[in-house]
Amino acid sequence: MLRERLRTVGVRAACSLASSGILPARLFFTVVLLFLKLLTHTALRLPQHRLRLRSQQSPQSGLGESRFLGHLLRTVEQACRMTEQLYTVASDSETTGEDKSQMSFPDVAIGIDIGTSNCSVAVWTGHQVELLKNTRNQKGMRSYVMFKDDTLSAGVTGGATQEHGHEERDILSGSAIFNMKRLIGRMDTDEVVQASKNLPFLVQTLGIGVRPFIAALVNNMWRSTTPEEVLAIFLLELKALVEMHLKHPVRNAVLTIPVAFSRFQQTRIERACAMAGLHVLRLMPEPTSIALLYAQQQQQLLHDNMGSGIEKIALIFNMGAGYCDAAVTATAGGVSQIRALSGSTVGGEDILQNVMHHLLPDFDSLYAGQTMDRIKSIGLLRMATQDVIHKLATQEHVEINVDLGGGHKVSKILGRGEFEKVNQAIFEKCEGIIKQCLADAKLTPEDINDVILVGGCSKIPKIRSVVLGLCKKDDSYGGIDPLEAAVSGAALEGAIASGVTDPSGSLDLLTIQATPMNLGIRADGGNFAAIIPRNTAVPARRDMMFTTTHDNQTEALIAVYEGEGKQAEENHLLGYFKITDITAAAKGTVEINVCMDIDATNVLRVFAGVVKPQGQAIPPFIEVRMPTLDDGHGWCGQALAKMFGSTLDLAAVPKKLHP
Amino acid sequence: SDVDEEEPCYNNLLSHRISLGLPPSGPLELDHIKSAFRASALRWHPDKHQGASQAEAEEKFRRCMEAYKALAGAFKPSG
Repeated sequence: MLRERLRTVGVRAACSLASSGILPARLFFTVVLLFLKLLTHTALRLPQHRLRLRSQQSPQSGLGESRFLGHLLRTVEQACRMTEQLYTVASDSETTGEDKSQMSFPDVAIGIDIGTSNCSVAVWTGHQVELLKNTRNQKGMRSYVMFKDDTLSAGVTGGATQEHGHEERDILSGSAIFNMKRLIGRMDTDEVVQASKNLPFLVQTLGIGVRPFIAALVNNMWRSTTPEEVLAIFLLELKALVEMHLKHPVRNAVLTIPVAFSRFQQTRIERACAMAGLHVLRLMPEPTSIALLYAQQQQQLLHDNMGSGIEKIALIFNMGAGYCDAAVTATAGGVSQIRALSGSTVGGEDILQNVMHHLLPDFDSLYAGQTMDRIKSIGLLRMATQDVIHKLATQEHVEINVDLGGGHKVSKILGRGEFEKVNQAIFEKCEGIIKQCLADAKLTPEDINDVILVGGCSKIPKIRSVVLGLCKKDDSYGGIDPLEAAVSGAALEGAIASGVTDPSGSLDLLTIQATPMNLGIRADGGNFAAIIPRNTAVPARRDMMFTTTHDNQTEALIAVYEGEGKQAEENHLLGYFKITDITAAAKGTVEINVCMDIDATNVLRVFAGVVKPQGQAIPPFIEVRMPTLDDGHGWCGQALAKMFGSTLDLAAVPKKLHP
Repeated sequence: SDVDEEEPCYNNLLSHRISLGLPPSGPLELDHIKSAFRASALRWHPDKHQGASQAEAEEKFRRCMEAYKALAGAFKPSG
């Protein structure tokens, strides 16, 4: 009787929610419609991408896409079912749910920290940042998607298993794809992709400059996928989680990205978000979101009469599973100005791989094939190694005993000293990143007031001693949670960039971003002429003069690159376009201005046109948004060189020669 | 770096001072310039403006940035 009543209450509550327009069913259709719209939108805007998909991945493409759509819809459905349950539960306790939905701001961007290994999400609740927990009460969720039995589930809900050990074993079963942040936007010639072949799922490379073949094991068959797809499925589940908490749809998000991410990788992240129905408001380099959080804390100290208000220089070192970044920032008055950024693709995954190879020297020869047994063994070794590394953070020696099957066993006692020796090269890379960052900021260790250590690897004693040693400090800044800092900063930025203001002034904060990489064009043969050097404050606009290299040259190719190499070929080709109808003249007499502009949302635009000789026939400046290329930048640059040689080349005009 | 190398000209310096809301004449200290820049940044950074006013704010912020570089740059030789 009582149960009957409760059920009718539930139904009635659901109906009342339906009339107020926030019933999951309606939400479901909105998401689906949005997704379909976005899919067609992307298809219209990116014809190259579609073409390439068709031609290069014909065995997977058409089928794969429709299957992907099916999977996504199913995931949305599942998520909505989950949401529906919670709505009913919430409406049982009547008012609380409704109050909360009025309090939170529907248009405020959420903060997402997509990590190589873990992911978290946070929102601005009106007076503070709150990290959301999943149904298993976790703030940090494992980043993976499980392709088991044709039903997809991401690490947000943890799939079907409730127990941590089971989840780990499932992740390493071959049916789950993870480490997508390392693989996204990379070609099969990339060394990071090469190193990913040891992962317990299929990563096949041909070394020809195309996307690697990535697949999960489903019913003994390889089901192909892409890092974007995996990320989109994950984000979709994450979005459902947030909507369940906030009780309204969310659209905008601020995501943190590694400093070392190329603009290609950023585009891929944006695309994955679009597939999940999220609009990217900002992509923040991870240490800069931590800088924002630091600025907030310094303001809070000042507010509590505990701070001095004078400018503080902080070095932020962030090392997760996939990437490592450093930033030097000057902070006062709620404003954190990024002085220098540096980063690399070195992370906990490399440490893990090193230790795995150390524990089992025959690793590569033993597990060369792509068989079920191999995946199982690699999975077991990975689990054991992860455990060892975690334990070595607090213990001097750790004993490993693991049976990998097939007559292979690992029994060893690993000491911390040995562990540090094995990973010597990685610690040296970390040193290099910090040294470069300090040099770029034109600062010495004595100038640093605070050292902020964040990310999963910041728990490794050697990493701590390396960073603190370089900065000549005894201890790191203690006010920041190393695993929650990045996402908290992203949620703060989400609130600020969404236009939220707080009467108490707690959002009078700002991070003045800097460019992480040189941006420029190919000139003077194969050289790279940097127009916006790295660590320029954003928004940024710089220009440079160029001239023709041949007599009567009427066309010029503007090939835009990003990177640190002196030669254009060493850098990422972002795109190219031609300037046509240049007045025929002797070489070196025509002046062509190339201007680059990065706005606050990090969009890069390139303007180019002839400024001398002036005449009526001069075509207007051409303005191009970058990147224009989808991928394959390696061979694309080579193809351009082969096709045109030096006929469309430009030469830089030294600064002093033009007024 | 190009901006730093330009010859300081009186008119420019005046407009830089105005951009940051500093007094048009009189001695300046680096700390004053820095805090004036931070206050202007909080006011004009495009993150603080949504919609139509964003483009205008971005221009103003660029000018503040330029002014800060020029005025603070003059302090570099003395440390």
